[in-house]
Amino acid sequence: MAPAARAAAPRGAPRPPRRRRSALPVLLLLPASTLLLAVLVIPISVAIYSSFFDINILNLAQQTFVGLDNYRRMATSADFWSALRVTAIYTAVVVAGGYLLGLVTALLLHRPFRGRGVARTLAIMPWAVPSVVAVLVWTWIFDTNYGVLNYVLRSVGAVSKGVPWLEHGGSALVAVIVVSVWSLYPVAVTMLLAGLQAISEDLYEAAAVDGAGRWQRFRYVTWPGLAPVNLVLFLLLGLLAFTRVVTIIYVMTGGGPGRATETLPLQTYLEAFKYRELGYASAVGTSVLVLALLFSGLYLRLARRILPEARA
Amino acid sequence: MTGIQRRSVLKALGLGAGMAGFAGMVGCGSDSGGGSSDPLKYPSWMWTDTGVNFYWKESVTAYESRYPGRKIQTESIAPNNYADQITTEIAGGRRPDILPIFTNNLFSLLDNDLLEPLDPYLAKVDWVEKELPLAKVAKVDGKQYGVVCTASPQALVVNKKLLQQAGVSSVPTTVDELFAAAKRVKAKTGQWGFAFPMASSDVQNCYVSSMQWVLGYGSDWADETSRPLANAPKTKEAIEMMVAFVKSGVMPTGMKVTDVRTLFKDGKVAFMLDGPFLLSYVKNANPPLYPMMDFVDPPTPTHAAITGGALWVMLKGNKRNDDVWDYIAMVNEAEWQRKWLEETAQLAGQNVPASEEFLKANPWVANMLRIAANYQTGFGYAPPSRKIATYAAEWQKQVMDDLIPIWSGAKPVGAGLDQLQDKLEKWLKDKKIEVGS
Repeated sequence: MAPAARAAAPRGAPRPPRRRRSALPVLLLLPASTLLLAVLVIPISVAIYSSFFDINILNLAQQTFVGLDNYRRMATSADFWSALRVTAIYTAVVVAGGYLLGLVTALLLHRPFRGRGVARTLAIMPWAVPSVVAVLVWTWIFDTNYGVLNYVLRSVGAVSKGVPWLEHGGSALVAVIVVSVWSLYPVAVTMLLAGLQAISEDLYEAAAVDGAGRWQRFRYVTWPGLAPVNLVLFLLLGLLAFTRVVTIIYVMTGGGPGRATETLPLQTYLEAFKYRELGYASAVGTSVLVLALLFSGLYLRLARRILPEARA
Repeated sequence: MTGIQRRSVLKALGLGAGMAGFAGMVGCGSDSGGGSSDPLKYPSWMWTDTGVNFYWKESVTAYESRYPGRKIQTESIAPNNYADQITTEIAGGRRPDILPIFTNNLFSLLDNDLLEPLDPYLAKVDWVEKELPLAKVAKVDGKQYGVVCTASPQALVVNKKLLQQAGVSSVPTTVDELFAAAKRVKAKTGQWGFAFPMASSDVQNCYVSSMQWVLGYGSDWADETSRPLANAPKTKEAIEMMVAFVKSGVMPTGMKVTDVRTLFKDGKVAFMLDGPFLLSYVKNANPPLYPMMDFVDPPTPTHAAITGGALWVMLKGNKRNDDVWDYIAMVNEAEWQRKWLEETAQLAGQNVPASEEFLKANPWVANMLRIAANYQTGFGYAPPSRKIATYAAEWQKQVMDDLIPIWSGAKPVGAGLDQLQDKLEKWLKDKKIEVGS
């Protein structure tokens, strides 16, 4: 009880029963907390700690403290800045593309039509396809010599010979973005469909009575109705694109040609496991973590200002 | 904090500690710890290689029946990820027992003091003299750290069927002849005249591909003193020739080595610079084409045939090394060496005379044996400098990052190689590798 309230209570009045403290909530939280500690907190702490050491993965016993050297090396490395630039472009385009494709698909699948259940299943299939399988299929689609994409482009006369999609930096980045959007958009579809189903039909009917057209109904009913979903969805897509989609790029281009498709998470992997520079890889990994936290914090702050739902 | 709260938290912490202890015990229990009854862990990239996997599976069966009570647990790892995965397993304490490695991974293990000298074991066997010269790369400071597992000279693999269809009467012996024949095959049959991998996700194989040409023109990506040779005149000549093949449209572009080999196996490519495993692949996957295969000297100016191959090594401190050696010794027995040559048509670790009957059925093998004897170039997969070889994977990536855009025409050869030279010099400086000593 707050001191002011305690002071206001009349003398001699019966004291409210003291709430019995129970160990049950702590015990119930313990398994999840232990798991989080084991798989998240400890590894992240170790990674941050390791970033101040020179560590060769093959000789973990011999770790030399180097202070901020790994961060200094990172700051002066052209490869790091190139990867940061690629990561920013890749994340922005994948989030925008994944969201837009997800929104259009969700709006279509929200309308009643025959076979909607099958269509919904098909729409989320890319999420279920293992990344490596998806990438192998897409790599053949983009293949210069035998790819379906080049076949179609040649057939319609758009190009005279096969476009080397994965052999040039710019087009390779486009290719990995396309595959990433394809792989991530089912997340948007699923969440947006749920959001659309939560919007009351009464609002649409009322808008129709007021003479609102399709666009106005979308602008003034659907879009605000999706705001709470959007808040989470943008963050989720951003974090998935920023940190999780390493397999697609690794298998498809290995980060090349040159370093044209090398993102920071991929660089972390390559430095740690290919080049055995665990200390430096930890520094790059820590920078990914810091950037992800900054991005999330700024986004949530911005979202709270713009979206009233986020303030709740 | 109240007494009840304190007790609750203490109880919770006690439970947590108990769970952590249990998890720790489970974790420890999952590591075999190298007990004598545990199976020997045996990773390899060859368990799924259709050309040779039957041989290795038979060797496991033979070992287990020769040494009752011993078991081998195989682990299949893709060649491209082999070095990374083995490194991670060793770092994570899940050390392999029977360990074949690619020659270019030797020095990273050796420099971290992970390898056991094999001299005491080799002193007990009588086949050391028969080992191929490749074993020399594993001799450091007078100690032998590796035994040759397989050696593969890479030379010109020829699809004579396509040559006949194109009216090419002889197998090329110079680069100009190869280029002319490749163009003729493309023009007359519509199939590819030549092929090499150039996918950026396939760094090691692309690098090996470049080595065939760079060594073939008498150069390298660096010399023995670690001095980069990216813009040396002979390197430039070699890369210009590779670019000429790409530009002429006689070869498929942007493919991984596995895809290029599949095209060859399907009879869609006339020439490839590759190892005998390509012929084993054709023999198993497309037998009718196999009699039309040939394996001849690389037509490059020096005819250098790079020889990668693999070594058997033993990890330091492994309590099961005696058992591991029994396996290595077994597959090095004459019977198993001959079996390797005659059943897989690949070079084993020793000079084994092939039977006349076998050579008659596989005439190209005589060429392979001659080439392997004439053009040993040691590594081939990494530069001759020991200091750079320690960073083989990173070095290869540095080269390929710039070379693939040159191959694909995104960068001109001269300027691209100058840029690569500058980058390699800076990389060596960053790695604190002294050049010229």
